[in-house]
Amino acid sequence: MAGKDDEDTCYVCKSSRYLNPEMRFLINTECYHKMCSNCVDRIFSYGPGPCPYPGCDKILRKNKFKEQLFDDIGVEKEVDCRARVMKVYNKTEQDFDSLEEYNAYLEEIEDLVFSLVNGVNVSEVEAKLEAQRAVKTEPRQPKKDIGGVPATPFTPFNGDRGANTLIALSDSLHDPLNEKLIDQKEFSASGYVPQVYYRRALFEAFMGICCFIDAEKTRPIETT
Amino acid sequence: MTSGAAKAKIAAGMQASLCEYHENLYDLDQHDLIPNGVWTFEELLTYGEQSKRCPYFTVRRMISYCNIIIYSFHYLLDPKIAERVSKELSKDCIVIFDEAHNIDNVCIESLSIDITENTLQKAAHGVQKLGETIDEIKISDSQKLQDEYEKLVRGLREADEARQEDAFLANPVLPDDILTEAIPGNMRRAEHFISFLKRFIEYLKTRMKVLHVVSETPGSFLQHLKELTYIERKPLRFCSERLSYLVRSLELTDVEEYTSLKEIVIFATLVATYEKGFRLILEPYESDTATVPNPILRFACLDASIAIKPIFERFRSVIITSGTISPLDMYPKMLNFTTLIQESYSMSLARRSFLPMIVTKGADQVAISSRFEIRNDPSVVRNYGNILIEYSKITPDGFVVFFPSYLYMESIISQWQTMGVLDEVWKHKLILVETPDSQETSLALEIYRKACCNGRGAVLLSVARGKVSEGVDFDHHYGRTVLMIGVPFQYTESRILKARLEFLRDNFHIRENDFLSFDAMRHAAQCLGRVLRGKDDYGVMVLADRRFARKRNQLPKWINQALLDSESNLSTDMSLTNAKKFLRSMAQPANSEDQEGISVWTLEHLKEYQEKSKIHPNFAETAEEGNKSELPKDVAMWDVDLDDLDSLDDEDFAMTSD
Repeated sequence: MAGKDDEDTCYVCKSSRYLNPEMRFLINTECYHKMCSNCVDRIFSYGPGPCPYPGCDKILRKNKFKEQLFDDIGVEKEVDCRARVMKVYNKTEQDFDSLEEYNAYLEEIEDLVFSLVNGVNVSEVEAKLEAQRAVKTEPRQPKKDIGGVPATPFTPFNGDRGANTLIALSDSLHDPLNEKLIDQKEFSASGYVPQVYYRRALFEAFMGICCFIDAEKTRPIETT
Repeated sequence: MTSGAAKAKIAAGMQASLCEYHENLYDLDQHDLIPNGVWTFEELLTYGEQSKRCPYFTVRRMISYCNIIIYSFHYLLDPKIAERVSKELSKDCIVIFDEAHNIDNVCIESLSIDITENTLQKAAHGVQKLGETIDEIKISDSQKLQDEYEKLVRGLREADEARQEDAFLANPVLPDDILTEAIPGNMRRAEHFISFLKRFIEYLKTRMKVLHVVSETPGSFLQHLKELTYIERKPLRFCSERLSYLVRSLELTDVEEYTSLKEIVIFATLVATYEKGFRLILEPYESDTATVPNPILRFACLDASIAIKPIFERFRSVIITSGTISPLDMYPKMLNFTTLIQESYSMSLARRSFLPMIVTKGADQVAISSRFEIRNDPSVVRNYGNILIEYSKITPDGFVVFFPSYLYMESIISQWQTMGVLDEVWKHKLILVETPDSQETSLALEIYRKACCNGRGAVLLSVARGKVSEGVDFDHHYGRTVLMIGVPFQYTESRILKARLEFLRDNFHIRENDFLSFDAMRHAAQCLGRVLRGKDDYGVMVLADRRFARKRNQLPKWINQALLDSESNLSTDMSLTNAKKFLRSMAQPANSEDQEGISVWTLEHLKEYQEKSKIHPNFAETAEEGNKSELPKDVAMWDVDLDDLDSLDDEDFAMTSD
């Protein structure tokens, strides 16, 4: 465990919280070395530069600095790595046919994170991530084939009452008043179309028929 | 040490040491480890020492052969313990919860966890240590970990009996809620699991840094956890099981270091399993005035019915009984069950052996109450002081006083000190005070008893929810008067209590005030019951608060019946006259033969009773009421209930109060 002194003193400028109670410590996801926000402003304001810690030659940028969330740097690093992996490996249990496959997938993720954190086979992992990213851009396949869109129109009860029509529709309606109107110019000029009238009449007459709400509610909902 | 691992080694022809005491058990038949009889723990221990057999495993193996087992509630209600101890009880067992007035609190405690920073630090240390062990074993014996991993991949669950006995940690969730699928893939490998635990602990540490009170549901906690650390709900549920596997396959024997880790893991499993009826409360400061943060993360169970539900489902007859369980209808509501029989009995006593009184005002007619606004008024304090002085004058031997809280007790005692009340009491009796420290309290109790025995007499100032009010009896001369100063309400500003009240209101339709008053009265009744511990015992019970007069219906029936209307609204001096008279009459030599046939039965009485109950089955029940003269009236009442009694076999619960 780091001592109290260590925790409250900036390694770079040696200023301590005692003199500057407002001090904030920042870390960079490249190397996870801790420094105070003043140092970050001072060193990296004019562009990227090397990490001031001796022996660390990582080039750091100001916008990559962030506040430390966890006490343990190891955990902080792991969570960052995990965030990267999870961005690509984001399947859920529903995407798999069996639990074993899903568990194997979960373990693969763990392995990737583990090697990223410990710096083993990083290039291999990066390649894998890249490959997965490519896969991801494809539209996700639905789990099961839905088997064609049903031809019947949508009904509020999630399913249909069969695609076959039960009645034969004739295309005209015997209505003496209406028949007289068809031939008159002033009606057709105003956009009167008899078919529209038939359709509306039919709809109004049969509205609600053939749909028994109680029966529809008890019917098991089909997922196809 | 005998452990599954050591046995496996011996089977493989390697060297390992076994416990002699444990191995000797195998010499006997597995269902005949101890002779028949009644055994207490001390007897078992001496027997085990003599015969060189392990008393612990004797009990664990014999428990399913016992006719009657008497143990603490926790063995049945706490899933961590019940899984090991009470698993093999048959469903025909009759379960009796005696002294069950507090059963809801036991239920809640068994599923609640408090986590402090210290716990987290120790747990982090434990994980560190575990990680190191894994690294060592990877080098020396990597096969072991590989075996474990493969077993988990295949989703096997071990059913090996020897291994079960030394399981590190039983699942903390109730049997119904245990997931029976394979361990999730992201914690199958030991090192992955370690990093999982590290992340979880670090997350908790981060949460602890918050300096304001947080109260959230498990759901929102899990959501936040997922956002920050990518820990999903499902692996979290398997946490405790996985740790137990790991400890077993690493063959760790020194498990002391991992107690805190165990707590964290139990918390993880519980928080991921239960969504409803739980709440997470983070309190950064110990009290409102504290400035140095000392955060506690409380995972509080609010629903007492969760822990007791498996009991009702598993056993066919469950009886909940206590001397101070009232009002009865609160319990079925809180524990969410329906009673088959619900009965409140009065006491069968030959003489009026206790005198309950409600004192509402002092000798100067000022109303006395421990209500927060007036509790420190000099007149109230003085009147309470006067009651103490007067009763210590007239009470022979022991005198017990209960306060609603330690805080109030301290403040009132210091005021009494300046008023000279204590000096006055001192003339008549020794003064002893209960403290939160249990050792100090037991010393005080010891001295109290000594003072009662040698005639000096003593006053014990104690607290209604403390140790004294629950487990300690003040029979005969150890307690002749019990004085309740104020109504023992809970500390209503407690956040857990607030959350629980809210839960009770929303789910069980119990109003906040109803619950608070019920809870206060059951504790008051518990305190009052301390002085009357037998048929030849007697005592005065003084309830000193104006508010008791309205709450008398919430007292248990046996107290309420003995409380005359004329004695339910007294002033100090009037109550004193009554008490003097009562004590004088009770001190007269009692003829023990008077009790015969009423509260004490000889063999003849018993035979007569059996004869009668053969002719008239309903008689059995009325006799218990102890008032034979009213027999014809009661029969009708009991007829109704007896029909229910017949169906007791296929139904579940009866509830009585004696």
